[in-house]
Amino acid sequence: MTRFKAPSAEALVEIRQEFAAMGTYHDFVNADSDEEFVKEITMSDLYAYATGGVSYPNSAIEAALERAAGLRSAFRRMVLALPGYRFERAAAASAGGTLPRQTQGAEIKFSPSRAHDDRTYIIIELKSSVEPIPNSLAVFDSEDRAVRVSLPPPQDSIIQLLVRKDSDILRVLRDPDTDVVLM
Amino acid sequence: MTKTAVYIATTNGPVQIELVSQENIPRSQVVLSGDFVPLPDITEEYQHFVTGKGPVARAFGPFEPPMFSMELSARIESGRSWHLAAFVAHGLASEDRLAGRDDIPNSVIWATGVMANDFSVTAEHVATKLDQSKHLFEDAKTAGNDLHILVPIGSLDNVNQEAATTVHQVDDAREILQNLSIGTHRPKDPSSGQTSTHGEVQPLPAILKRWRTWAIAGTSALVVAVVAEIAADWATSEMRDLSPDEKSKLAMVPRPPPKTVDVASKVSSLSVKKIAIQLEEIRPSPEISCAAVHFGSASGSLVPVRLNRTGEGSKSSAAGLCGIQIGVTGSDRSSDGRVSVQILDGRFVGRENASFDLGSVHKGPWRLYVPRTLNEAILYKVKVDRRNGPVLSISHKVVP
Repeated sequence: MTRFKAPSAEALVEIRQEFAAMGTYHDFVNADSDEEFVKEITMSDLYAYATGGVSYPNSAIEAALERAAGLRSAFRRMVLALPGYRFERAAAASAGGTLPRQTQGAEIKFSPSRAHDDRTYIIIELKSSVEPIPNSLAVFDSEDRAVRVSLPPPQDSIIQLLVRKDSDILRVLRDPDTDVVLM
Repeated sequence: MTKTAVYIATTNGPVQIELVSQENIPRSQVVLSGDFVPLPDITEEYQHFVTGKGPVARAFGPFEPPMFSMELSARIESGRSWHLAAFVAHGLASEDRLAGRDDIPNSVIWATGVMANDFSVTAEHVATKLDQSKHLFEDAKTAGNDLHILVPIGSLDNVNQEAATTVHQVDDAREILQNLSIGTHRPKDPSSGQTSTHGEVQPLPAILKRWRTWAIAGTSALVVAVVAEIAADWATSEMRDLSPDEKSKLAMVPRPPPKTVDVASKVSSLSVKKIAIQLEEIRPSPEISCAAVHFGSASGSLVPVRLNRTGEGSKSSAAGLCGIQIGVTGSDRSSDGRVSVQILDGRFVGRENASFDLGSVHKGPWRLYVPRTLNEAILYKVKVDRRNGPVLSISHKVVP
């Protein structure tokens, strides 16, 4: 009988990150040969981009992500492996409004503006403290394309954004099959 | 319906309160007009200012929904003297009298003052704020707007003012509501029906309010003197009807002398060496593409960006926009100063830095090019720093 000690929660996070990093490396070495420019983005660049070390948006990295599906997939796995809030997918598609998203310790809700017919509030309520405090919201669609917005610091554990109803971020949040992460 | 434009006086120039709206959100917020991120410092205080025991809720509330969004024409870097203007703006907004960004106002209110819990008002740097508002005063005068200047009592000296300018010097913010005919109702304290708890003040006795309010309109010191004389006569007659208790309260309040400000001289003295920043959209001509403009083989068509009185340009749509041309008009050999750009959001082509210098005011014009596909708005500020004059500043936004 084989016996082993289960990793702690912290160790588990490290393992997940290393696993994501290895997956990313695998994607790099197997990238199409005609996408040389993708290889100019190092894995550390991508990791820094995911963790905020490289500020968003970075045109070179965004261009590489746009062109290389493998890189996008790797980046998504990398982001999802980071500690933070990862929201459940919405229950079902909504005909009109945008459905709220929930996760342990946080909730994203939406409220149409009364003053501006063309805008909606994105309201993020943090119910528990996770360090570091999230500074951006990322939404991954089914093709691993990410739409990100920078977040202001929370006030009384609440983050509010007033966005246009036709904005990219609301478009992807409206899609129940997207992954939502606070980074 | 007459509309009134309300400006917060700051040491960087007037900032218009363009919108006050009740919203279904968990926290009240202050945002730059058209922006989506709340301004952090002022938002924190604004939440307390408008809700719960804050002055706005006590003067005009209760509200349902209880939260507000207030939109400003420009950032307020620091300070708390936005209170008085925000207070008045809430009163006007509750009666649909607050002029928005695109409204043509009938009158203009310029206010500065930090409000305490008892509605008392204080302010600093009033002279500097007046100096920085010269364009607003000139524009109000040109447009024929009534101009109301709201300051704490004792913050301005000398008696001399222009026609159509009214200086209100108050020590209690609620007095101004009466002066400007802004309706107010205060919820009664459930325990007594009148008195309040937790530091909340009682409404001023009517006679006390009128005694301490100095709304002095006129064209000369003579008018001021007449107003003061009438006020004295009126007060004497009112005194006859007071109860002993009210008289004793009144006796404890020293009556300040009437004061006005020499607004006219302050405005004219600021018109020396007038230079201005000019923004123009660079648009393709029928047979010339933006690519040709970007590569310097064509200049494109120039369309002036309209500026409002606070020095903010009307938004430019990125559709068919090649870039923005920046120029300084009115500069001659005697002018000095440097022109710089500060990027607040987004990015122009080839401009990676958050701020950069363009050059001397004598040079230019300068061109900033817009990316072919613009996903996020570009918000930027053009500044002219002069050795011998106030800093000129214009903010402008290019939207996708």
